[in-house]
Amino acid sequence: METLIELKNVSKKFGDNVAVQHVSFTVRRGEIFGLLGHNGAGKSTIIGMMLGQVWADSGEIRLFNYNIYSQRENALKKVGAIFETPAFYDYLSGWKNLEILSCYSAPTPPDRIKQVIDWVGLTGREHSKVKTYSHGMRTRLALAQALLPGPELLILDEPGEGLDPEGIAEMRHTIFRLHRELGLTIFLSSHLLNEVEQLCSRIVVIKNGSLIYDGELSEIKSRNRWYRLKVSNFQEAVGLLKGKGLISSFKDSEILPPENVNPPAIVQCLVENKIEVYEFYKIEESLESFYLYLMKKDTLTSGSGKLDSSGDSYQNTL
Amino acid sequence: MFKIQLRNELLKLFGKKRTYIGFGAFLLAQNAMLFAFHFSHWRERLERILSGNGYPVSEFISALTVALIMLIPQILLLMPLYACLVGGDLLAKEYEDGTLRMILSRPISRFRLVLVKWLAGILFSIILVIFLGIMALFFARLWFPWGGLFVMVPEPEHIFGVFPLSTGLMLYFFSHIFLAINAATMTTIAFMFGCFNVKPAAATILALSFLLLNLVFENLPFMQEYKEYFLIHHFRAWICVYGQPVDWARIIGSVFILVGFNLTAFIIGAIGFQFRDIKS
Repeated sequence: METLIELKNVSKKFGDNVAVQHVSFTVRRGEIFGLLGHNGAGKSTIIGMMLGQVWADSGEIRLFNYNIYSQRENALKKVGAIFETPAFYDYLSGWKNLEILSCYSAPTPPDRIKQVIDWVGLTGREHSKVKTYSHGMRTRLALAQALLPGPELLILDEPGEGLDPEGIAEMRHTIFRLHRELGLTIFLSSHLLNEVEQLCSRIVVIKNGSLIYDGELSEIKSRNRWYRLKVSNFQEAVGLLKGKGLISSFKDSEILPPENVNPPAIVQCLVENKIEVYEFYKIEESLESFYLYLMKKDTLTSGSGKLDSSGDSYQNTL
Repeated sequence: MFKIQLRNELLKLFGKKRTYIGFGAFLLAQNAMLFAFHFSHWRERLERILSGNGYPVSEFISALTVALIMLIPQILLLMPLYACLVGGDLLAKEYEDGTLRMILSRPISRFRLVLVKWLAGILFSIILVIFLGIMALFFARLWFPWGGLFVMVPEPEHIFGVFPLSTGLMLYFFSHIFLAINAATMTTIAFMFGCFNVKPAAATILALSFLLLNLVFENLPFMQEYKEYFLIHHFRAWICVYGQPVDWARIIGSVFILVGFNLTAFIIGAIGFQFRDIKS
């Protein structure tokens, strides 16, 4: 699949402070890609470098296979971006703002502006001054300005910042629409782990300027090998299963089968021994617990993005 | 596309209320001065000078003479302030407000952006000077009759001249061309500072300090032989238009120096902007 963003060994220092060091990753067409990290981890610096706003000290950044610094105009031609606090010319109307911002990309006919305003749901308010807009409307206007040039890649820097739960849900819905209806590749930097978990197919995690994880979200979710077991008598059930070698560990209402055990065999064993089974399912790892684990762990993952720890030891660490 | 970008820069500039502070201040100052002229002993002193030199008083105490007299303090005090205020805002305010990041996420080169903004600043300076000249004449005409032009600037240019209305108006127009170059230079200095990582107010203050230092150094007694190295000396070219005979060599020399200074300041600003990091 075509690579839209490519960072190769990128580093950046501000004075003596290392903001980003030796970061490499790629984003492929069609992905919803998440960039995670604590405050000051270097996420905004990475986005700044990707847009050619911040100069990298070393390494290479390519968008659509164009170098962002030496081929800036080609690299950014099909890119839209939204920043955490959308800034506009508050004394002008939403429409005028869109006209002004679009003139830095390419000539934009009024019909296109109208179409985008309709798409983001700002129709009827486009000629009001931006200073009268609510935070949600400003976010929609930010989205409109990003969509005007007809981008193929959308870069979102903390798009949920300052939004209420309703606004966050709307944002999530909009990102899905952008991905499905317009076929956009989305690069999302966010603190909202729950949102990233629902939206992204792949993530990278940055800690103190260094990349500490790069991999598929599905890998993270499937890493956990623990099962939720709700039965008529949990103590009796685990005693039975342990005796038959069907579990290697347990806690509360969770059990961990050994790798060679087929999970349906556990249910079969319980039923045959007249223990009523109400619930039995594999627990998906949450991004939050994985993220917190990474923040504590402080070790670099392997090149393929897979953690070196096994599911059970990872769970036990938690 | 360049024309649309320039038009939009002007739209942004003239859409802001603070852009009009300068225009408003000029109007107030002009009317305050006219009020003072009308009710002070200034008129008698001017009459004494004119009659002492054998000129008919009634013909030269005119709207044109008063408009020109009003220009001098405004150019010395108000024009640098407002030209620097706008020049300092052009880039630095966009950075402070966060709109610069929005612009620079688009496929426009930094140089082109700086060029468009600088040209918008130059156009603003020209519009400010045209407005200043027209309004000075308009308000002066409300209080004084049409008539010839009398100019007297003793130091340091030693200008003394009387002109009929038609010549006076033509010279008044010409002098505004050179005043526009002065205003553009002031805007450019502030713009240059605004290209670096400074707040808009800091860019304005730095530019005003630069101009003030030029003024102070130019007036130091031991710097007299070096006065041509200071901008203020070249800013005075506009008044030399009223000299008899006109020292065109001095005027053209100053214009070249000011244009060269503008281009140099622009290039320094553009280089500074090219290599800075734009961060939130």
